[in-house]
Amino acid sequence: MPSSPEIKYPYRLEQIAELTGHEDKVWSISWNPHPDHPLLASCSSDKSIRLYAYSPPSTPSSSPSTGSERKDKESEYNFRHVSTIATGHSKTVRSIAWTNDGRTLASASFDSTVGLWERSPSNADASSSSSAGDDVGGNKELGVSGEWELTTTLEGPDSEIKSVAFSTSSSSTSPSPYGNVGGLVATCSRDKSVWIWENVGDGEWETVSVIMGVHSQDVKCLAWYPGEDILASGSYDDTIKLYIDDPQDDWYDFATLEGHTSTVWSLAWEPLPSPSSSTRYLASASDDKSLRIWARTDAPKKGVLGHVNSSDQRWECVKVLKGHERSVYSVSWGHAPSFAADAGWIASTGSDDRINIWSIKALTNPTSHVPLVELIASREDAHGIYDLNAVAWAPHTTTGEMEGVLASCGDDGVVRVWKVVKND
Amino acid sequence: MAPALINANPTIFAPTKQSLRRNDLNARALWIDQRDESDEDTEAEEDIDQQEVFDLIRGISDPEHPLSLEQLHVVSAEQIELSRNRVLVEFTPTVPHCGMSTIIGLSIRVRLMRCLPERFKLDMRVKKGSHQSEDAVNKQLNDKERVAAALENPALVDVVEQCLSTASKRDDMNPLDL
Repeated sequence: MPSSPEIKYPYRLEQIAELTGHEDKVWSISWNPHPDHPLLASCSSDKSIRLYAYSPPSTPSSSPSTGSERKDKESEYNFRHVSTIATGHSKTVRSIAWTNDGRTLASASFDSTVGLWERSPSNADASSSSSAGDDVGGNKELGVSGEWELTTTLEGPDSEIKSVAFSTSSSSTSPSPYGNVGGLVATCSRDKSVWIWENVGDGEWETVSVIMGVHSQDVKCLAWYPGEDILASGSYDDTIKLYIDDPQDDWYDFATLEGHTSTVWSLAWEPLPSPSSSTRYLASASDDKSLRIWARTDAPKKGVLGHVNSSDQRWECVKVLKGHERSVYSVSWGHAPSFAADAGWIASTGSDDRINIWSIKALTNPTSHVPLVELIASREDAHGIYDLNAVAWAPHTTTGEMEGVLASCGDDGVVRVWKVVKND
Repeated sequence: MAPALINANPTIFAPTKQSLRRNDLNARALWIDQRDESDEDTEAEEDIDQQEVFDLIRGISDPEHPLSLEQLHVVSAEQIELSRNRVLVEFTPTVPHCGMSTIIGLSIRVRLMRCLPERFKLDMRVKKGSHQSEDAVNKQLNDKERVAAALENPALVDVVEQCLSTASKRDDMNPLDL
């Protein structure tokens, strides 16, 4: 074990779970965003998806975690394997994503297809109301068990699918009996295309757009803007594109973000700062070993980003973050824990085996677009000698116990869950 | 199989005679076998040098010719850089428009992925000025997602395995293949 090299940072990462079981590289992880379905999913070159149910400690802690509390807290987080989906994909499952209502999981594969999966409720769900669950998970246990069934296969792209992402604008308030109706799912592929499908109800999805000729190389990653139908894509051609639907015509790219000097591996929008405001920033991770933060600098009107004249939008790189020694494969942007007076926390990881945590300080100068960013924790050898492929912040819960919790996955076939805790 | 060879008349070089280093290692390997098992931990941390990496890849066949990468001077020990957990392999395509460069590079990568201890991160590049699409070849060979996808493509894997079939002839004297 290396002797605490991260002591100079104000925070450190404590492992709270080690989840083994995959037989090959784990490429991606995804937390179910809905509070009724506390699940963490992982996908692998072994063509399977593993699902873990979790329950945070039942009593919220009154103060920020410190070393002395650590042992108690560790024992209280409970992650347990509940299902394995043998996807039937003929090649690596590269990317997975949940719908906002937490009911549907998408699997994107190098076999050029996307599977959509839904859980058929177990018997326990049917007779649920009176009998309480058997552990701290309580009734939540009911939202995680049962068999996962393939409901739809999306086909179209010519080659490996690299990323899949659901829009978050629809279905966030009142799920319809048909689930995510009106919701969109996007994929990107080595064939340089971006495909968008729409849920038209009854488990049917229709292609609404095939965007070609925008990127000149593989499209590696996608991210939907929180709460609105604006899509971002990153590519092997080193650029990032932003797309919006023209109701009279088709989806088109209205902005190009240039600055990275190699492949853009991952994108993460700033989570909505509050329900009444709009997201201002996009983070990107690149093979050029840096992260970049991009901002819309033409003073967006409050609330609505997409409905103003898109061609007038000006996006600029406002920050370059250097803290990795090799390719950065993944970036995740979460709300900061309530105990930290920050505007947000960014986690990043990659081929240097390191997880970095960056704090975004609240903007003090209202006329500036440049955020104050600080590296607040750095975990070396997070998966030993192995590359890390993804990091993802857990969704926050009402008790606050999932604040500062993130998952990582790597070439060792392992998923780890960490909590960012304050150094004494 | 290919209707026209990209480089029909490659320059062929005589392979170097087996390195002294190799003999030295063989001798030590025999000796190590007689030691207690408790010594294994220290052996696992033993450094690997240029020559050992070169020995792993010198016998790989060119995809177009029944010749080794060493005979074509595509690889050499001098073009291998090592640090504690990193290997950088440079190679020299026989002609600047060599369309086989990514296959050669992929073969070298697969060979080293299989034979080097897992702790090594492998980077590859073509020799500066040796290929007209130098940056494109370098980028593709170092993109782990593309490499992973390529290795799930049966046709491509067949070609790579053919290139590698000659490389393993040296395995019997290779202490790294455990």
